[in-house]
Amino acid sequence: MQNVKLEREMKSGGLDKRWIFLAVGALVLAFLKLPLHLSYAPNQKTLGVYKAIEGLPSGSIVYLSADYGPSSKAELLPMHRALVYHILNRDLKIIASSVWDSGPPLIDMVFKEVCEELKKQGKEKKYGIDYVNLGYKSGQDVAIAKIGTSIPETFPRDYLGTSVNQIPLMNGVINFSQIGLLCNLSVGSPGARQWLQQVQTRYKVRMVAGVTAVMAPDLYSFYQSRQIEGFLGGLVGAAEYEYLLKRPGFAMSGMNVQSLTHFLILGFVLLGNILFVSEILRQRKAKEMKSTST
Amino acid sequence: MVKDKVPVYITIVVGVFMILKFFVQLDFIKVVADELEQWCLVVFALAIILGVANILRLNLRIVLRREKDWPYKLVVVVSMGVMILVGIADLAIHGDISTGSGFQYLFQYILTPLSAAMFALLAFYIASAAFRAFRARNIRAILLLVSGALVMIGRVPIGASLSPIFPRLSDWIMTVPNAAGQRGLIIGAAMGMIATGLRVIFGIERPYLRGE
Repeated sequence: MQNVKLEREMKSGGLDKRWIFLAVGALVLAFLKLPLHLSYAPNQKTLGVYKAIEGLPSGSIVYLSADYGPSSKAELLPMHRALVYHILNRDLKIIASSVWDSGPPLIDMVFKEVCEELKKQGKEKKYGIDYVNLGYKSGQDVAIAKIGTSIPETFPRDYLGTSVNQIPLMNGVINFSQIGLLCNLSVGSPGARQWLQQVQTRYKVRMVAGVTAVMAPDLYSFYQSRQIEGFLGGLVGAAEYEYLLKRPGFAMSGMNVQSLTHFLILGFVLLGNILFVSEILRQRKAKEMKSTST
Repeated sequence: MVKDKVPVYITIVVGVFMILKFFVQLDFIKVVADELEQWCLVVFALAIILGVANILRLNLRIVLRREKDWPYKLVVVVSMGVMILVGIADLAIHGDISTGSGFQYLFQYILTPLSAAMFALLAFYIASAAFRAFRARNIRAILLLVSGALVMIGRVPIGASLSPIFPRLSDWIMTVPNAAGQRGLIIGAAMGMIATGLRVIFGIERPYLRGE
């Protein structure tokens, strides 16, 4: 009885779900490493982020809030790496923090990877002078509001436990008047919306964002009102940014798979509708035959 | 009576100060509101400890009584214990939990891949759900289907290679109807939040009092 019920569930819609799972899995495995040499045309939102960072004078401070966790690293980690690389490569400074508890280890990981990459290119970046990880602050919207009021009061110590008074980069940094650009990477709440409400609107700080594809539609109205100068939406945004930096990474190779998976899903949608229409026609025909025979 | 009234008075005083901070430029208001914000952050931090204690209490009870799914609850408790102990050990020995520490190792090589894998399963369920649910049953469903398809094609580089019309259409859908709908939602939600917030601040609604 249980097997019959399971079989009925799996075959709902006329196609066994397992074939769909197999097709998606096979496509991902096949094209993860095969290059497709896709061409990119970064959109205005991505260009907005790029120009915002390019336009900052050397030595400016960027406040990066990495408000995401490991579950969304596939979309956000590539853009996080690309942004940190761009900022440090332009000899700008980064103050990083997070209002998500799993943010600081990710911030730490990205700083280490990018600094090693820059070191191989002959650019040495020092912790405390070029970048700092202030760690996590609980409190969601209240924490963001407090950060806007006073950064050293909210983070008296950094992620390594050092007092911020002893960190050269934090000298003279009180609030967002000393910050050239606010960059937020987020996947939900607290995230870009809360930073817009509590910091950008109140202190008129320049802001850009990097969000998952699901969250990107939320930011269009804020982009149009020029509250944010640009944003990266999902893996495609990260890939476009890597393309602008001429630094191919995980995002560009991931777009091979994502592009084809979109078409595979559209193919399933088309197949589902063909089956749906043929089922309706079959039922109509059966009804007509029944009414004719009676 | 006092037990019911004191929380309401605290809510009113704190709420009024936080609102006034936005609109009144007086040093006294700012100082009090800043201090209240700091207290709030402390309370949030204490809530994390409460959360850990609650997880232990709920899961240990199931494990000790061998109730349904107790092995999975044991995994939760053991995993939490290991992360806490490793973090404390790293702080005691090395002074931090950054790169190179045991805590960072567990986070980077166990928690991160497991969390990412859980979310990666969504891709398979989305494909299956798209096959079963995206049916052109009526005009609205057709509209949803067509706009979804255009955005899916336009947002990937292959779509632009097929035809430049796809990215333009996709961008128009996101910039015009989507942004218009989002603005309506944001304004409506904000008005609802203002109304609810004022009701809570002035004690008309008391969700923090049990049974009210």
